[in-house]
Amino acid sequence: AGGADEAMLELGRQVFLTTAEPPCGVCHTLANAEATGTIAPNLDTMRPTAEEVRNALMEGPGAMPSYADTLSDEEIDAVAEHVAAVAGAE
Amino acid sequence: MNMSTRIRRRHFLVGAGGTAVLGASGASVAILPAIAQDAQGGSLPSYADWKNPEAMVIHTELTLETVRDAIGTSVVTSNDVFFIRNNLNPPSEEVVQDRDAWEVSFEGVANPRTMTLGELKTLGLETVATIIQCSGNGRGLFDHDASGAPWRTGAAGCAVWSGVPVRAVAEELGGSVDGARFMTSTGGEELPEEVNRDEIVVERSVPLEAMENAILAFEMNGAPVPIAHGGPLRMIVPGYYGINNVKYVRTVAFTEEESTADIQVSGYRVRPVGESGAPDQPSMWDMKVKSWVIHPLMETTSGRVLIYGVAFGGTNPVERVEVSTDGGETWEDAEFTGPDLGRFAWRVFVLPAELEPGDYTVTSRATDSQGNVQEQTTEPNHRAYDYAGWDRLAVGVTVV
Repeated sequence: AGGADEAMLELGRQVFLTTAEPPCGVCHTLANAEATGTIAPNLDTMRPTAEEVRNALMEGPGAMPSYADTLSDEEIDAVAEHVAAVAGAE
Repeated sequence: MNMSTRIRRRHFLVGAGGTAVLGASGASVAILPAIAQDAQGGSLPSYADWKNPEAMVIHTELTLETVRDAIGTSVVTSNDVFFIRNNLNPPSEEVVQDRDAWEVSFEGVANPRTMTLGELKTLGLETVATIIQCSGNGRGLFDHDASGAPWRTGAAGCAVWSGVPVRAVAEELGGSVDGARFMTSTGGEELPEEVNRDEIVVERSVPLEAMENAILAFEMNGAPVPIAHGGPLRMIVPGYYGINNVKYVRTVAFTEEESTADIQVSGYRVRPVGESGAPDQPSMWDMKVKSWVIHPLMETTSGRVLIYGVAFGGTNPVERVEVSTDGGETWEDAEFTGPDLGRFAWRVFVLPAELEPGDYTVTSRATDSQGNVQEQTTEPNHRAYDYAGWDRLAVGVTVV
């Protein structure tokens, strides 16, 4: 997670769990965030890059909603860095 | 990820390195070697662990692509190599423990009610061979960075489906209501309560006339439909892109308006790059004419070479396939081989050629019964749907 500092990662975790509407963790599993959603791909197995998370948040591919209008650029960057940093980690 | 990087770099090299081949109309043809179609990626997800790992490119747990030549020449694509694209995670094994107990609600008919699969099976039986092709098939052949799996040719397969004709069910229930213009199918995935249903539900509307050919399928290539492919019951809309063939179908409604689900309103809409999805843009419904070569790929020995592949016309029968070994400068008619399984199935074509040692750009061009000819190139569209251009579906073949 190049350039992402602690504060950014913490913001990302918060957005992942609560700020995003709907919160990412409702649908996705991400062990680091103690998220156990089962309807969408498991991020710990998927291990997306920050760029892929950012694209998905902006686009809302397939059945995933787009967050382009509901999250700020800063929040989207933070979630992307957070997920890329912790996915697949214990 | 490695694959898409490799493809993009290859595009760049082709464009910048002067190795592009001139097509018939003077446009440059990018050579895309088949090497990126090698099976690769992680291990098979548990719901699809019965697939042949040698034949699958695993993009993610929900996106598994068939290696270019693994579709074979038997017309029908076997279940163990058939591609998978699920929008949501599949339901658990429980849904197939008692398949006949699966319930479907029918709405927008004179007498709406819920029926079990066991009951549905008494209403009629129909078998149809049809291609299922993901809207994003060929995304990896576009240059722009659309999100989603970078499919090349392998998000498509042809299967024989058996099931209950939807029109027989509608008739049993007193017919569709006056004013109905769409058939709307809803997937049976259990959605989390915290989410607004329309944001993630898999629900697709197709024009009502598609009902004439649609079946509620419980069998795929002679086996009960696997969960990975939508079992116990899948809506099959022959000739329509994969997304309209709703898996785990729970509700079928005949409606005046299209579904309000995001996946219908703004998803699966064809629009220029950079534009948001909207209901006035074309929806990914019926498929267009397309073909591609599956042999030879990469390298072959000189002399007599059989060039073969698959071709289809979407909802029209495919009538003609031409093959070029020089990147579209000259074309020769190929012959169809194998049985004609109807207008929704693809046909296998073959052209014998005498090839001297050297480098060839091999590609194919299909024409359907309405005279629609497969396009040379597919203009970029925002979500990178259905690359059907024969330029980038071409393969670079070295004959030694």
